[in-house]
Amino acid sequence: MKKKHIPLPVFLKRKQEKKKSESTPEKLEMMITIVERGKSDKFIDIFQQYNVNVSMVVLGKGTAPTELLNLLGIAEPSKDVILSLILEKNIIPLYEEIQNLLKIEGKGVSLTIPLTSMVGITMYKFLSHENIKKGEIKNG
Amino acid sequence: MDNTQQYEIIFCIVNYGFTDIVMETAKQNGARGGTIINARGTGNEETEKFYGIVISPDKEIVMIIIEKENKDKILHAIYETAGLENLGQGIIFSLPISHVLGINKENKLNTESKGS
Repeated sequence: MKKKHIPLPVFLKRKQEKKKSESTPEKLEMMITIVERGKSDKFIDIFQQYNVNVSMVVLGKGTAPTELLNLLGIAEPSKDVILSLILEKNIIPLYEEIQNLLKIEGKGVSLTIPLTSMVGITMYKFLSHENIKKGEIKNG
Repeated sequence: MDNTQQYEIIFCIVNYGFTDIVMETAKQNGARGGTIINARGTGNEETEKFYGIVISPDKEIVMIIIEKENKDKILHAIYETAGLENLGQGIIFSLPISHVLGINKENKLNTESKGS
């Protein structure tokens, strides 16, 4: 007979999570932002306020959502795709600021994908914009 | 803003010119829009010479944000139309998304509302 799994009370769970986050470095996530062509500079300026040190712009194109756009000949609106690395804790404050700008500057989407692993302490320091003792990362 | 983890992003790497087929099948199965990036593939040159096959390095990457419920359906549909066994030679995979901004839930079925 297997024992029934009893979930931890909520306050205990929080304590566990806290301990974990103290020993491991803070997580980075990859952020993909898709905006209209030429508008990427505006967004990158805002990103830099939130310690995003590296962002790369790739030229992309949107796909036509309707037959009407095809008829008008504007079937493939050109886009900028911004790839950047951001600390997990900065995502929500950044999104709160971007939210309105995305609506004003036309159809834009932003999303983040969690990273699973990374190599290089100095690179991590540079990307996360924070000074961390060497020992802490080894533990993680 | 959403962080309920109900969305995923599909990356689809296909030969140049096959993005229309990918987007068509994705839209038939519930996706709304996508973004295309040009890319260049790298293969094993020695094996290519040995077999006398030329694999065209021109590729395009299609990124599509979808709801989790539609994921399996879309992935299978794209594999059938533009997968590795077809001319599109597509590699298709999906990644989890932790935060999303800029998707309006209300117009889920209204395809006119959302591009990009």
